Amino acid sequence: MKHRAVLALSLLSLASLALGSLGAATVAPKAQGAPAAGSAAVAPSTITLDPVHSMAVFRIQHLGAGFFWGRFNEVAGTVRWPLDDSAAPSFDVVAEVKKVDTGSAKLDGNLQGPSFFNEAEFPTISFKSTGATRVGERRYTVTGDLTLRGVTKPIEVDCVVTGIGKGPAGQKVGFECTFALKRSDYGMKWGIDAPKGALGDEVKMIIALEGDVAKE
Amino acid sequence: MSEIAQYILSVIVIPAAVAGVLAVVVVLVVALWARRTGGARMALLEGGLAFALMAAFALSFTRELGWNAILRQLFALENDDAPFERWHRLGLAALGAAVAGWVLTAARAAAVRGLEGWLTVVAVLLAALWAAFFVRFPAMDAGWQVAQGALVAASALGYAVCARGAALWVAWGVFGVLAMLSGLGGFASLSVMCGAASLGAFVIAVVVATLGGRARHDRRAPVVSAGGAVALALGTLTALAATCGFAYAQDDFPKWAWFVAALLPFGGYAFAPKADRAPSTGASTFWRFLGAAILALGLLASVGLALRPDAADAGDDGADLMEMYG
Repeated sequence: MKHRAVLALSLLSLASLALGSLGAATVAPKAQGAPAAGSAAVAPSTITLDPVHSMAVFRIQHLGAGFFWGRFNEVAGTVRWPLDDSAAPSFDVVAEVKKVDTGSAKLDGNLQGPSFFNEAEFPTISFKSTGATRVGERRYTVTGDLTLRGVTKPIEVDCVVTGIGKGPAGQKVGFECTFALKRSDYGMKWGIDAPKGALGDEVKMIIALEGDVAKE
Repeated sequence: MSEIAQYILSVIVIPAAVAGVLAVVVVLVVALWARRTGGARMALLEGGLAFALMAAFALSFTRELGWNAILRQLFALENDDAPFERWHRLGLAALGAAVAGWVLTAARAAAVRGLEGWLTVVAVLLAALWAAFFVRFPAMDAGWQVAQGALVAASALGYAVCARGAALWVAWGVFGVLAMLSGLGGFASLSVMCGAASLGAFVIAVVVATLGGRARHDRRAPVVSAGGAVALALGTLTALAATCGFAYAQDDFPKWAWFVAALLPFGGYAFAPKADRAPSTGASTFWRFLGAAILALGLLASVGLALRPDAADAGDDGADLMEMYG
């Protein structure tokens, strides 16, 4: 009888231990910048983007048919984020229009021209975050201002921390952010109504960022 | 009708057709005014034709970009968050040149005899100054601004003196060349606007050639005199379209070509002795147009050679505007 009581108590304690550990593994969604439950806040690290391994890829429909892809090479800027995911990241990212790359030099030149990005007058595209909402572990909906062709508008970006790795120079962090925009909102209207449907209005963007964590 | 055909109709053919209708109205009104004094008639004719020419470009501009692209340069528009772009000055420049043409011809008509030529010189210098200070394309320092003003004056001089009676036909060729250069340089919008100006000049030249004699009662006199309104408007727009193309051209584009294009009217001087001895206005016009046309063909051939892909990147891409848009 005594043995049975000990066994029952042992099972109960094991079950409560298992439940307790499960509860600890489930991190409740946090407000922007709030530290994780039960952990001390860690100061956000400054992550300087590595232009070689950071890029912005865009997709747009051509003649109402297929999608063609292009990318902006050498995206630069900084991200601030505590590596323990105790707060949301903040972004300050810039892409140079001159670095647009579709695989065709002629097409790149057209995109840099006044009918599209107008590189001569608006040489950069920038995004500066203003807030973020945690939607899961290392997943955030980031709000911020996108400046394109001299027009600044607020947008929402889905961002995922893709990983924390180690390179020769120290720790590296990767992010992937996706969003869609209407290029006509930024005054880039060529090919939407005239010539009608030559190029789509909606542009899907995927931003792949990798940066080096600054040493304290 | 395909989308691209509708687009060309909208931004090139319709603006040129409107310019042609304006020219017909002007020429017929001048014909009805036959008993009026020559100065007033010529003022109406020149001012009206300059207006029609600039209307072709301005209409193409507004069909491509909307009126707001011009209006936002003059005052703040409600609910307008599109950016001001410097090259949008071209639309305003075309409208300004149209008005300047009327003012010049009216002033010449009212001026004391002997002062008409000076009025034209002053008008061209004012247009050059305005272009130098008001129209500022990216990456242009003060030196380039002065050069832009000088190019306006030089181009107007070329139309007035070297192209003379063939100014409309020469403008057909010059804006055609500018349209081709813009297309090759990846500037589709400027290409269609110059295309509209080129087709507009052609239509107006045909109208003047067919109806102009009746308006003048003198088939041998040049319809478009060296009075300056047409030359002033054409010179201003030609030079500014060229410097705009220069400012926004891709890095690998031969930039000198833009300046040569603005000076193409000087080609009209090549056969000037033959033009001066020609037995008719038509023959004189032909010789002056021929000189500018040969220069234009030489320019296009040179640009073609300069842009010829070398062996290293011959297979790189065959992309051009059509590959992207159509």
